[in-house]
Parts: sequence; structure tokens; C-alpha cells
Amino acid sequence: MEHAIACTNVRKKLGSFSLDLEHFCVEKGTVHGLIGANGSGKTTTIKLLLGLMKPDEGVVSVLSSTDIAQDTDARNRMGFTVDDASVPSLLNPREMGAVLAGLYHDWDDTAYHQLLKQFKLDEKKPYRACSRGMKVKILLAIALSHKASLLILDEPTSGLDPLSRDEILSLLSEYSKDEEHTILITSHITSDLEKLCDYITVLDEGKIRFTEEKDALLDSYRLVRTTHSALADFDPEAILAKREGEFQIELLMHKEQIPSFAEPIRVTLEELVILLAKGGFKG
Amino acid sequence: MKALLLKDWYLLRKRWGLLFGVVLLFSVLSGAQASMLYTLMTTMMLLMISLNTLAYDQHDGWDAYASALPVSRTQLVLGKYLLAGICIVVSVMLVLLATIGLGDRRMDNLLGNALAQVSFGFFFVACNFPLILKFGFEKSRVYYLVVTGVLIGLTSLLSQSALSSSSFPALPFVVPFSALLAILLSFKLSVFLLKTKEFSET
Repeated sequence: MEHAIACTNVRKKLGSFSLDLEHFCVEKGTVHGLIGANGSGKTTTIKLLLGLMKPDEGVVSVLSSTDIAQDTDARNRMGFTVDDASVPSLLNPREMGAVLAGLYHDWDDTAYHQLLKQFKLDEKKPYRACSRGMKVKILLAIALSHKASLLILDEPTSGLDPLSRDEILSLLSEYSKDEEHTILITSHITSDLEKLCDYITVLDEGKIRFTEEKDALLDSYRLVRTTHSALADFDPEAILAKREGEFQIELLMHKEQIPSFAEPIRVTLEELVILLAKGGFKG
Repeated sequence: MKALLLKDWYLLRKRWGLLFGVVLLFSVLSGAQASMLYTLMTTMMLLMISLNTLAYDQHDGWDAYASALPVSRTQLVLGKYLLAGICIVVSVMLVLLATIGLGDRRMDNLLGNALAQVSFGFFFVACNFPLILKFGFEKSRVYYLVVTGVLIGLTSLLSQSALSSSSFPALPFVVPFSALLAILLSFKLSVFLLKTKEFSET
């Protein structure tokens, strides 16, 4: 399968933090979620992909371009939102549209204004006077108004109310229906990624712990609830992680390693990521 | 390129009405008092406008955002130098109009003013832009004030006819040529700085 994004042996050192993307690929036509705690390297990864930072080592390939910082043609086919990079705060959406129409070859002014209308955004309200939710929507409207085949979105849903998050997820879901469209999205709101993504990559302390197809990932693990006294009945090697409560213990296990006496419970992406992180990603 | 200038125009339109009033005042004073200080202040105040667009860009994170847009970093730098060039041209026009309007039509005086403004403007941009691109507007503020003071002092000194024509007759040619060279080198340096810039934080 063709890759929209491919990072090979990429290393980037920023002070004491080091990002190490030995092999990270995003297949074309998929929605790929990048999960990680604050400081795990998500935004650094996004900035490397957008050409805002350069790797110390390795190759970053985005839409077949290995020098995205110089390749305006490839950047023309990308839409993005990234932390601490934004449009001029004094400009309003209408003015931004006029500016960006002159920068993107395939700018679709009708689509842009339609999205602004759909998001119920005031075209004359300066960006800086907008709420966090409105700002995200403006940046998304820009990202979706120039026929981009790849969206790279850094925390687009963080800080938004549930209604706005749902609206944005629906829009991204609609966009991803086109097989030519690829999305890489970072978030620590795992429930959003669970709804949207085909693939999940977990980043921890600058390293990729795993990349898995979401459904296969959720299918291969189960939670088991047991008591402290019954814990001895479980094979310690089969326990990937445990969360201890006052009266019971939750165990994360591979589905096939669960003993017959225990009752497996389907795990959510959030529970899975938290428990795997607690267990040192040994699964 | 037009789009980048349009963006700066939108910013200017909203923010610098008062500053433009001050520019007009300086240009009228320049014409009325035939003072090189006011002439150069007209240019400097207008160049501050272009400098402020850089500050706004960095504050808003537009410099990082624009670097991920389908526009080359050379174009981003060129846009800023073009804006500065437009500011210099406007300042020359304003002083020219004010000087002629207030009755002084001596060609050597008008030309002298224009050359001094262009040279000052070029040196001002050449010294400040690369530093602001590299270290940001806030960190470069002290340096920018020092450069402004030194340049205004030097240009005022050099533009005194006694000094320029008697001790160094080639001065009216050497200074503008040096200014042109400085701004070309500065542009190359700014392009290099932006191309190698990493937006790890804004």
C-alpha cells in the first residue's frame, strides 16, 4: 500500500528530549491517530512532517516529497493545524480567505465560505476575538478548502466542548470517506481517535511503542476484573498491566491468554493506552 | 507575493492609523524646517510599520504557519523586504510633496533628501531584518534602538553639505551604493536564516 507519510530512522534532539521515529508510516487513504502524553513528541513529529523542523538524522517523506520544507507543490496538497502556529490574529475569516486564495493553487472560496457558514462563524470577527472552538474551526475550514489530499492535525479537538468536538469529528469522518484522502491526527482525547481512526500509533517519551490497526488492537486485548485474593490464580506472565482498586483489580491481558474462569470485558482505547503505559508497554 | 502583501495591508489598515498620522506630521515638519532629522524620522516611522508586521507575525505564530503554506521561504522574506521598500518609497514621496508644497523646489535638495532617505532606509532594514528573523522582535528590541540612533546620527552627519562635498566628493555615490549592497547581502542572509529556522517554539 502507498504511504502518504513515511519516516525512516528519524531522530531529533531538542535539549534533553529526543524523538526517535525508527519506522513510522501512514498509509494513503487512512485515518491515523497519534496518541501520547504531553511531551511525548506528537507536536515535534507534526512539525517535522510540515517542514517546520528538520530531523538530525533520517528521512521524512510526505506525499512522496523528502524535502517538504522546500517543496511548495507538496505543501499545496496538505492541510494542517499545528500548536503555536496560527493565522494573523487581527484578520477576520473573510480577509484570511482572500489572503489564502492567493497562496493555495486550488483554493475553493465557495467551499471555504460554506464551511464558515456551516460552523456558524462570523466572517467579520477578528481571529483573536474568537473562542478556542471558533479558532479551531477557522483553521479546519482553511485546511479543508484547498482540495488537500492529506490533513495533518495537531490536537484539533482539545479544549473544545463535546458538541464542537462531535461536529469536527463528523466533518473529518466525511472527508476521510474519499479513498484519496489521508488524515494524521494527534490527540490525547482517545475517545475521539477511537471514533475516527483506522490506525493508532502510541508515542511515549519520544519513541513509538506500537502502531496497530485500531480494530485489531481493541480486539486483541481484554480487561479482566478480579479480587486481590483471586489474583494468584492468574499466570503473572500473562498479565500485561493491572489497575488496583479498593475491592477489585483490573487486569489487562491478551484475549487468548485469559483463563476460562475469568470473564473478559472489552477494553476502550483510553483504558488500553493507560494500562499499557502503566505496564511499561510490555504487551 | 501579492497575497503576502495583502495580508500586511490588512494588518496595517487596522493597526497603524495613528502611526501614519505621526508620519504625516514628520513629513510636513521635514518640508517646513528643511531638517534632515525629520526627513529621516519620516522614513524610520514608516519602516517601523513594516518592522511591526514582523513582530505581529512572530507573536501570532504566522511565521511558522506561513512556512508550512505553499509559499517558499524566499518569497516570505521577499514579501517583507518589498513592504519595507514600499514604505521607503512612500516616505520619499511624502517628504518630496511636503518640501515642494512648502516652496522648496531646489533639485539638489530634493535629490539629497531622497538619497539620504533611501540609504538610511536600506541600512535600517539591512541591519534589523536578519536579527529580528533570527532572534525575534522582542529580543532584538535593544539592538534595533541602537541601530536606529546610530544610523540617524550618521546619516544626518554625512548629509551635511560641508562634510559630504568638501572632504569626500564621492560620498553621495558611495553611501547609496553601500546601502544597496548592504540590503542585498541582508536579503541573502535573511533568506538563509529563515530557510534554516526551526519552529520548535514561537
